[in-house]
Amino acid sequence: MAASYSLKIITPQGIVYEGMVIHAFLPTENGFAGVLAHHAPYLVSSKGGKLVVKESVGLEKNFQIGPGFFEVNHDQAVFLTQACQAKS
Amino acid sequence: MSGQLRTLKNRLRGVESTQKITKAMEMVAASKLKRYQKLREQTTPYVQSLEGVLNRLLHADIPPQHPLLETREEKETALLVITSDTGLCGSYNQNLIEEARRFLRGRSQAPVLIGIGKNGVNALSREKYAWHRTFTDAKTSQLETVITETGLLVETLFSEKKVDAVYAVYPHFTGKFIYRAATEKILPFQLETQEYYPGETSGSYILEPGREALFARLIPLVFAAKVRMIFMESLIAEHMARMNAMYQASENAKELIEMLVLLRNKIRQAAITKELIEIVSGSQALKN
Repeated sequence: MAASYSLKIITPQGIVYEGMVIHAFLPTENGFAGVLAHHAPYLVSSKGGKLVVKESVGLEKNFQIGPGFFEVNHDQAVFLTQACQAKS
Repeated sequence: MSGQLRTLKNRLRGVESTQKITKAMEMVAASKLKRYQKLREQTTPYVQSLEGVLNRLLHADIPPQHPLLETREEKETALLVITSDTGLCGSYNQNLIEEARRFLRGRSQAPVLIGIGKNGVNALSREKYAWHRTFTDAKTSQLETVITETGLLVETLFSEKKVDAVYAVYPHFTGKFIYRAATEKILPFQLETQEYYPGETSGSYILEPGREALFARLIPLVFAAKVRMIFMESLIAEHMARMNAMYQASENAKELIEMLVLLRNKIRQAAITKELIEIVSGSQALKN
């Protein structure tokens, strides 16, 4: 069982996603970043694009997100963006 | 006598239907109020996290630099007047317009006016104020667009140095249910320095692509959130005001109905008594 951490995707319209994830793959300002549990405090801006969230092995969720910020601290991660849409 | 009774009955019917309308409007306002309150609640986590991020960036010793934070000498100003499109909400619009007038009187040079809501736009147009841009009769579905556009417009005006300060007239909440018309300076943007809370400071954070760049991206978002909150507050206040006004109107109608029913009964009774007297005195006259 891989370690997981909590992730929230928050937009002005409300909380779009909230749950425990193993891995999040996000588009950052300069390229991409994958974040696993126990990540060091990290604050990065994102240019928007495809965000892939891995909840468990073989279960992934895709989101189309707008420009925003990703912050992780003590296994609490928050993605702040103006727009977010879940994709299958 | 019967003519008087008939007009009274008509009047009563009229008041009753008015009461029905005001009751319905009160309920509509209540449900809209709930919807906007929910919207505001949904926005709160976003604003709070945004402030959190900002705070962590602010805890550096370097003073933040951003075009939206720049303080200049106030030569040209812009004023955002937010009122409602529809009336029947008591003194809500009057208070806001009055507040705007006070601001306008205090300025030697007419500010660039941006109006939201038909009531304020019309009232100030009558006083020969020219609008730079107005948003009226916005449908609920267009709310997002209006909010974003207003924010962008104000931002552009300020960053292109067409204006040196931007003020907004809107109902500001001082308590959960208490608000008053207020003028607030929204640009240059005031960073609320909050109490330093121990824990993770920006020093221990990995920042990408660097503090300055993050800051430059964050400030417009924080400002957009601020504009959003202003809109939310004004919508909530509007419907609160309308609900109160309609409640009062329904109560007044109720009182009026009670009074009219009493009057109607009195007149009817008087008519009956009069007829009885006529019959009795008529039969008495026959007996004699």
